[in-house]
Amino acid sequence: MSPVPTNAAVAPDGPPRARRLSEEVRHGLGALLGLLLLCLVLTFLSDKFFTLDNLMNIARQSSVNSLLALGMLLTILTAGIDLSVGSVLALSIMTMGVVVVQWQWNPFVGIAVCLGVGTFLGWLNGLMLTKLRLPHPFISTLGTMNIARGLALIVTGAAPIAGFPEAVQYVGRAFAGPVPVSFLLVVAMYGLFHVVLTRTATGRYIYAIGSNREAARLAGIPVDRVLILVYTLSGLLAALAGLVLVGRVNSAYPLAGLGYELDAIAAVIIGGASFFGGVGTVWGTLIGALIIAVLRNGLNLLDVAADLQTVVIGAVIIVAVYLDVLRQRSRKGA
Amino acid sequence: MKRALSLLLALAMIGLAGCRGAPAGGDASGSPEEGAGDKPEIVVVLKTVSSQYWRFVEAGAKQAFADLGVNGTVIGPASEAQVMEQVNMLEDALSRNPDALVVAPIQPSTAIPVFERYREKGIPVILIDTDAGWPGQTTFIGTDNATAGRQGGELLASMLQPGDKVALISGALGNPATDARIKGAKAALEKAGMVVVAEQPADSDKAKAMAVMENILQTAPDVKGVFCANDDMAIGALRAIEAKGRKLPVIGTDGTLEALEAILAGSLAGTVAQRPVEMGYKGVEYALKVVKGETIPRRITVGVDLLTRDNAAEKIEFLKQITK
Amino acid sequence: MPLLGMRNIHKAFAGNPVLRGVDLAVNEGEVHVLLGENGAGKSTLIKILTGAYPKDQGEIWWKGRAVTIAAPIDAMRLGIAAIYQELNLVPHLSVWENLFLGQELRRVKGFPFLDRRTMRRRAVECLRLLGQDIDPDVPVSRLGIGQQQLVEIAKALVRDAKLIIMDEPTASLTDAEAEQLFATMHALRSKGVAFLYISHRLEEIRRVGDRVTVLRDGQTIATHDVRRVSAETLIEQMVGRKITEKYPKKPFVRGAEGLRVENLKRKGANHAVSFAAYQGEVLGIAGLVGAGRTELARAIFGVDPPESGRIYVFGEEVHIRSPADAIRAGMAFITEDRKREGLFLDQSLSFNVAIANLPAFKRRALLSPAKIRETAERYMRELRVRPFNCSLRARNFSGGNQQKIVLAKWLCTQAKIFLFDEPTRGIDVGAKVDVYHLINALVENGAVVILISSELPELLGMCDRILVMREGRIVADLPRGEATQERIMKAATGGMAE
Repeated sequence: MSPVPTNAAVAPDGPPRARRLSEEVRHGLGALLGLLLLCLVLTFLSDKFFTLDNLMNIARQSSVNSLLALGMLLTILTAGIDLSVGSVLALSIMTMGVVVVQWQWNPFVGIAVCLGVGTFLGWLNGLMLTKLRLPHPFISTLGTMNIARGLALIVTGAAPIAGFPEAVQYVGRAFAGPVPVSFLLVVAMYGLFHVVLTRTATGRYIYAIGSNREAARLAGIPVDRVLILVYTLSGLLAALAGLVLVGRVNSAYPLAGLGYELDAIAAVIIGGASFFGGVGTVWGTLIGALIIAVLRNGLNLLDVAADLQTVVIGAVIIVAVYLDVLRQRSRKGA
Repeated sequence: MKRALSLLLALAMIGLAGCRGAPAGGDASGSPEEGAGDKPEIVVVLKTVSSQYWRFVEAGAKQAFADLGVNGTVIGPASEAQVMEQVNMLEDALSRNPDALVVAPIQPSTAIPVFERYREKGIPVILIDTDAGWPGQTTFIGTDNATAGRQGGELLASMLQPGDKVALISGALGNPATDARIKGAKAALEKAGMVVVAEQPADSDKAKAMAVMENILQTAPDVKGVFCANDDMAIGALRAIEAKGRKLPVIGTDGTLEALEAILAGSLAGTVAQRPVEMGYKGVEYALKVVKGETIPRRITVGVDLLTRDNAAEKIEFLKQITK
Repeated sequence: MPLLGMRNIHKAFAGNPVLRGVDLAVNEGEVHVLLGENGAGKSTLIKILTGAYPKDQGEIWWKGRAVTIAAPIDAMRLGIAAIYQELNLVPHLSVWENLFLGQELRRVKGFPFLDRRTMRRRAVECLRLLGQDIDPDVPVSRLGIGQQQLVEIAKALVRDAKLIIMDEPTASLTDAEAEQLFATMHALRSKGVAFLYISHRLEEIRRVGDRVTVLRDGQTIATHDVRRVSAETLIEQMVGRKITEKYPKKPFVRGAEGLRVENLKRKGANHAVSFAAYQGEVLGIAGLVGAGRTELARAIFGVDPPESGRIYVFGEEVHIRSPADAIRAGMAFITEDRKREGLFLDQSLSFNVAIANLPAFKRRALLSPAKIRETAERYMRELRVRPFNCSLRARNFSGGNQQKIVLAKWLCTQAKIFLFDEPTRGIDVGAKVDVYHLINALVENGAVVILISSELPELLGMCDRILVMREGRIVADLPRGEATQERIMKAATGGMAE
């Protein structure tokens, strides 16, 4: 009879339900523990850290990167990447600035334009990947990254745009009680995408494509359509992040989001997603984004110079991924 | 076990960061608890702390901390492009409830919402270097960039004959400081009878300025002089000119050490030096006055120095001493 | 004294013996053919010889002296070189640069300056030895496959190889290129170079070989002088396993036509293919590697959409341009390479089972994990998947259980037509029988089953009818009663009929 695999660390007839839970939870647990420990340490080091004001600051500060990271997670789950998110953010808000501030159009039209520009650019990324068959999204989105940044500079001749109407600023600026609306938006989007990724066919297809694109095609999955959707969503989320950013600073400037793709990638990777696709969760990514925000905030409170902060964050990325590698190895081996 | 390792590592990192950060934050910040009660706390947020100009500003501010008995810190993002990071730093600094804020905003409009939060808490906001034009600001202390540009233009004109062709190299498009300098220089040069044949941006970057200057030399080979909106660009332009085997008067702006040394070596004709140290010092000085309840003017100008071979050596001495 | 002697070589993977006492002797200056079915242990033997795997037991002798080959470098030092089907050349470098890759000559030892002139001169000499007219300065990418293979041989010669192993070298060559290769091998043989030549193609053996060793089930069956052995003997020795109850075939009554393929022509193929498959029968497709069996299945399933031709499913024409179309038409395709084309290794078993028919697991608008788990567990019980844990990742199951996961995925789609491509390759005997039982159950329930296999006993044991393919064409259609291993091999090799 078919023998039990030699590497099965699990007894063959254990209770499946409990095991499934632990498998899923375990995935995000390392990162969550890391976040909690980080908070604990910072609470000891600075009396300013564990205050409502400061925690809400972190919630606000993490929201732009959280939204970008969510889109990035989708692309990384398909074994791709979206380098253009920062630039897409910039072009979306600059366009909105022109429409809302310079032309004085209705602010809701402006918001629609902002989201529309991001969605369109994401769709183009998807199209280039699937229809033009550019070999890797690294290339197509690198192109888009430069094009969108250039256009964002051209739109106003590099001048920033300030003075947005209240409706545009609402998401980025308003509070619901003590909680920033932008953070509620983040939680809502993460909740939505958690459901999409785990409970819809399209969501499962995203994992399937990232884990084995050829097998996905042979299983009848509309690979191209799903990929286009993923990049389109990443663009939309980048524009949404832009809207939050505009609300926070009441200003759109062409260098907005410069280098943000790297923070988004870092959040996804710290959150336990695999760069090779197919592995990663929404909650892990949120924790990853929060870890980065808490680190930055905490280091600021501790007066750590900015250049040294960059070193610390780099080290955290490497350590987090290395721990993941160790975990994978211990699971595969034995 | 591995998780424990990760925690340990995170801990070690924070610890390290804490130790290393303390001396950088100024004399008093190492032990915030003790000084906080009797000394006023002032936070200085710069555009960055990783370029020479801003190091001078930082040095001036710290000098003032020491002279005036202030519990102060100087912070800033890793580069001048990190607009949001600076906004985040401003927010984080707010959690410490300082007595006053001294700030040089990278992108003034983006910082206004957080300035409003300072105002709500009754914390005075003193702007240095870059004006925000925000009605709530206590004062703006800075160089008048148009004047600096005008003086630079006049200096260049004095080295040339009326009718000579000159080129202008500006900063990033939309940077109000460098734009004002170029505008001032242009007016002065034209008034003196020079012909401006080129005006191109080089994003305040040495390498870009070099490429821009190479192009200008191609299209206008008979150009006789160059004015640049900062010193880095002046050095870059100079390299391009020297590579062509030419010698043209180039005037920069800012007064960085590199520019001063180039002036001493005889390659750079001159620079319009701002007084960053003074700017940092005055920022803290006036903040303290406000904290003590004094009334201060809403605009305070810091002068400029025209530096050429005659006086560059002294300035170098001064700057080296202050940053020791 | 032979150049190479291998005695009583044993090797097992995870407790499954693959080699169970192989003896092999290769003389200097001979072309020695290694013959055997898929899974007979040829490639494992080669990998032991080239140092890729360690042997469990046995001795290797080289020029009369016992040697240890623990790593590829040991084999290289002895003068053993292997040329695989996937050539190991750097396409953008010139021929002579490839010849000396990793062995560059230097002007002064220890200094980085290369002695280009000497390298180029020696390259020319080497190529001349092959009797081939290849320009040493041309980049390898500009050469045809045949010439590239010759460059590989030259590369082995530059490294002073005394024994060159060639793994199915003619599989991707045209006839003319193959002729050229044989001529070169003859020329080198007379200079004392020996070849170990692996092939399925019986017709080539006599053309190129001096002696032939037949391998079966990890054992050496016999070594013959090529001139004194008949094709029948070789085939019999190669496949000669008694067919017993390893194949739980049940008799069925042929029913309605389920799949008909008319004049299906693949892109770049010279011939069109037509056949029909019926309910109540298992239709086998036999043929050598490269005969076009997998390609046919891929064309039918829309993986590589065909150039022309019609496909009918239960009498109705269907238009298949993608696997999604094929699945909609009621087809399932269990591919040969399950890791690359079938499984999502990093995903759970239930993910793998449900992925091809997710909409069926909806409860209201969303997928129901409970429903998915229920179905997955049902299939796990039916197919006896071990361990019984549907949240375990596919990677953690053994080969046989992985194959069952792939099968469950297709069972989920409610397909009516099943294309099996080598469904039992690399899985243990118990799992094989489970797969056969499943095939029986499918046929019993009215499905159409097409079974592509390289294992003749499997085809003879399980199929009601066997199509034989050669060079992209169907060359024989043998009912169960008429099919024998010899007839199939003759049709498949297209020669050596006496």
